Amino acid sequence: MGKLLKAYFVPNGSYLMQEDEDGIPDPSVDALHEIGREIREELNADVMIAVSPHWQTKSGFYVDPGQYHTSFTDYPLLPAKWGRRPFSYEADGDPELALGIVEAAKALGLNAGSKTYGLDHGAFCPVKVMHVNCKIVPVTITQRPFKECLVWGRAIKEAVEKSSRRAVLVAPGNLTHRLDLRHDNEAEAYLDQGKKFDELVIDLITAGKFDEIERIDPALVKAAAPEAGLRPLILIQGATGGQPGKLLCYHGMKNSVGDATFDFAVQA
Amino acid sequence: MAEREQFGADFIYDAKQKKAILWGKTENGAEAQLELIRRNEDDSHDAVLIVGNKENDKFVLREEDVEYLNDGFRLKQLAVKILVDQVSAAKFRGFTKGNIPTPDIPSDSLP
Repeated sequence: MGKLLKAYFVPNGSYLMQEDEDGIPDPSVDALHEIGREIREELNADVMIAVSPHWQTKSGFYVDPGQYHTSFTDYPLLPAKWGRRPFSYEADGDPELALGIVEAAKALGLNAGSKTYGLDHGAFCPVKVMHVNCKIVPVTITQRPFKECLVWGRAIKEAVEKSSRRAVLVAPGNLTHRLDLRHDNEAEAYLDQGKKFDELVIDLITAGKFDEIERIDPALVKAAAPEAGLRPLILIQGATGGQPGKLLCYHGMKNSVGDATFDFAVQA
Repeated sequence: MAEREQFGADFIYDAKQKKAILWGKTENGAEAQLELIRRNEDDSHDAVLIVGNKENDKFVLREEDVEYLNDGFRLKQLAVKILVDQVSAAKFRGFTKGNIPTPDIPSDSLP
């Protein structure tokens, strides 16, 4: 019987790949390196289920069941104002587990299927910085309601347990995500509403109070504009049985973005 | 609309107008601009093709309606081939399958 070993919520900004490659000190890069070490050396994971916050289908939940995945560059490239160098990533897939996730989701009443998609930067950026070498199953985060995303998380866990895999779940995302307010000067104060939002979400997640996420003041949520509406955390709630998160790293940066890294145990 | 040259790619996402834009050329060398202006509930897109500054066609684009080639792609419904670089074509392909890129023109909300 397979096991979902651990889940992680991590940042996915394309800048992380550039800082990792250039050896620029960054706490989020350090946190990703440590997660990668844990996945390789302690958990011995066979496969990583990577839930990109940028794969936002409306119609339902999808996996890429490919034998092999290549990346595509869905972020601005240089010489654009906030562009990055082009990066790429390739990994073996796990068709059997991918299709098992679809079956489990359908059995739980979700509209689910498969698509050939590849790896967008929301998935490959943190995975690349982690320096892992396991198989990858890309899955959607969607724009579906929270209650369906919760079930999607459950479906992922059930599919892993029906398989023979040692799996980890990585659901990247940012807390505050106001790219329109970005300042490149790090001395600029972090957006007040962003700080307030980030601190509230961190308190809720570390206390395991996922159900209160949907009750956050809508005006505060609008001001923070969290990536994928915080669906990655709801999916993790479904997959882990609502286990509280351990905050590994947090920083608000460039006036606009809250990078938080959590890990989560998985309820048996 | 900001100028194409500042983006460093021929496919961008404008989060202010909530639309994606691809710039390329047709086989006979005319400038082509393909806009995906709305993602529908079934993940198809309302689209418009502008060739040579003339709005040619409005249509509904589904991911399976595009054939990818080495030098661009063919829109099957319109029987039009668009020549574009592979990086932009791959980003466009991802968008038709549900991707929301980091916006080239950011706004106060996504997608």
